[in-house]
Amino acid sequence: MNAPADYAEALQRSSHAPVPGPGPHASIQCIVELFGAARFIAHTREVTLTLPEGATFSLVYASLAEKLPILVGRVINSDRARLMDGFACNVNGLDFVRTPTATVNAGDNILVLSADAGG
Amino acid sequence: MPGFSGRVLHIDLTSGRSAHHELEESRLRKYLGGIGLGTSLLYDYAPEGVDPLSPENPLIFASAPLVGTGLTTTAKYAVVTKSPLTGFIADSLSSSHFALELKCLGIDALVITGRAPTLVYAFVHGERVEIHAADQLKGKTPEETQSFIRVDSECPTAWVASIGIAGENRVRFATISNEGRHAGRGGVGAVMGAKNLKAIALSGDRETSVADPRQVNAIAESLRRRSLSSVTTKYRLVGTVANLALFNRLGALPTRNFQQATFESADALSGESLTETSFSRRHGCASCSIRCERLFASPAGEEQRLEYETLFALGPLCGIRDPGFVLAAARLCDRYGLDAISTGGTLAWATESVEKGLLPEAATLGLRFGDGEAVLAAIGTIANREGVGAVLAEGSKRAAIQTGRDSGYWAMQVKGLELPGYDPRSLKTMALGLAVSPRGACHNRSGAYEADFSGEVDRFRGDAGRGALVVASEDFAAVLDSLIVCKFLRKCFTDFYAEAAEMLAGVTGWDYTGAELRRAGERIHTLKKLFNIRERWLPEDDWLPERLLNEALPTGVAAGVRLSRDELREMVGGYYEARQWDEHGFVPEWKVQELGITTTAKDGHRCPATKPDEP
Repeated sequence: MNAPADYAEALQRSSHAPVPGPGPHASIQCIVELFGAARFIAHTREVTLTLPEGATFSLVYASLAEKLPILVGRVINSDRARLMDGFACNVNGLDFVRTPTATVNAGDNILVLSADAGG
Repeated sequence: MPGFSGRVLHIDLTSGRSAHHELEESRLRKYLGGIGLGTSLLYDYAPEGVDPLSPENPLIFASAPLVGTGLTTTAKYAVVTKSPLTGFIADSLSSSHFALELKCLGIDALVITGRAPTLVYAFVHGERVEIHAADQLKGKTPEETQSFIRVDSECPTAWVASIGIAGENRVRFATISNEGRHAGRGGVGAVMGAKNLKAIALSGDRETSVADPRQVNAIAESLRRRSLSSVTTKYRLVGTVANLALFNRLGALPTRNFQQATFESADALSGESLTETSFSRRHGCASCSIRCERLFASPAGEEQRLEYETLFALGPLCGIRDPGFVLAAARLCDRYGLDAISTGGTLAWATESVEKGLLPEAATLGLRFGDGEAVLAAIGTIANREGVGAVLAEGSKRAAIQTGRDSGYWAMQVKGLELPGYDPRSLKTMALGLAVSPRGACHNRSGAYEADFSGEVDRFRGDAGRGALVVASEDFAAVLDSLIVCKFLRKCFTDFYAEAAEMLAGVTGWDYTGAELRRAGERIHTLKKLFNIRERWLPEDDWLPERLLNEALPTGVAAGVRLSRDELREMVGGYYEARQWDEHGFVPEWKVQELGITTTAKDGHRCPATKPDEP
């Protein structure tokens, strides 16, 4: 088993730990990294999003849809609140996001990827 | 019998005789086709303890009920034999027109035993079998072999599966190739070479009958539509090469013989970059609507198929950053008929050995991580068994035993089969899947990584609960591989077992339920295990290479993450429990009976008298 210290160290390195927020109405920034088909469709590796503090992943997808409308209907569902079947989301290379109501932390790197890792 | 022919064709190359034998419907119901049927026939045809490279080891080509029915992605066949690399079961799949032609012969399986006195090819057309001399095919590539045979047999529409020079030289990870595709893992090509069988050419004219054509057509149309939905976008737009950049980001990309799990040049080698810079065209198997194959243009202007596993094994695993070298190495593997994963894995082992002052002959090839020219040269020596290539042609496990000096520590294999491109330390469910797979380190006979990528489990921390996940994944794969349906279709189903049972019922007319199909998956997987036990499997075979249990990942998001012995032991124990096997991994008699496995009634699947050592 990993010792708890191993975990703490890995998490710290990932910078996934919440960053102290600047204030209740402030905005945060996160970077969306596109992989595989999403990158192929958008012809873009990553985009920076500015979101209100406490934003959920639904809002991430909506903001991403606004910046890259070509992803709508192919990667982002037409309701712009979730990803299409076959796509998944990971935060900072560590945690896979299970629910679009989860909140985003400032400085998060959000990976949009194909859910199927078969090779 | 719709969906099946109820016959097996047996060719004995020693005598040159062949005969059709009846296949019992009860066996087909229990084991379906493909991997399941092949495993069942292997158990019966292979003498206990058979030398994989001896004439007595059967080489089995198995068709399946859904092949030839028009259902998308089903143009596949299985090759099953005892592996010369692992000493256990080798079950490989390949696809496309050769698979359809096998079904058109009016047989469910082709079993080849014996050894021809000189190199031959077998031409099976309709009910006839002809054995032709193939001296002139010695050293030819699979592509050249098909071209020659189509002329020589005066059958321009024959479809051919053949070995390259690696198979002729019995390289233990040689493949059987058709139409640029490979039955790749476990050294099935070496078994074919040991029979002096260069190729099998098929020409049949029987149509596959189905019990309910209207129902099957309706399912086929529905499945084709679903196969073009968003769940297959990855395969349709980028192909499996899309894995590389992502795995690198997730700290799961085996690099420099698993010394790291990130590669600093991953961007240049990524599927996304290759698609931008070198994409040539998209291709697909016969009867497939997904068409996942990607061909890339090499700097020399040649087209080359590339999959993630080839890209990883001949790229980051060997420290190669130049896509041109990876494409060239992949081309050599295809032409020689070499499993690219085992080739890369064995070369990575050799390279590290050279770094540590061992294997002086390999040093003369200039092997060092990142040297593409040396990799190309080394692949040639393996295929031809020249110099140190003769050692490497044995695979990393045997090469390490020959070399000694603790070099087994960095031989990255399970049961002798080199690991695929998923680092087990950052994918703990996959770690278990790799450890317990009957054919060795394998990413196809279970998709255990799916749990790790789902977010439902902590991919950095293993526990006993992973056992049930791996069991479910293995049984699912066993059914897919026995019907046969491509795994890239798997997410197109809402309720796989119910829908697959409906397909099977429509094709065969059988009253077959989803529960029965699930049971068939368990039965097929269990029979593979029983075969291995009969061939002297021991608990320590369900284990991972020492490096993975001693070294934490040094780089990337998973830096510092380890896989401990206790963690692996807990997961393996959970797996045996979920399988209802005994604590050492042996299959109890009641389970054999419960599953209705009758071919094993008299032989050695039982527990040994003494408790085996713990790994």
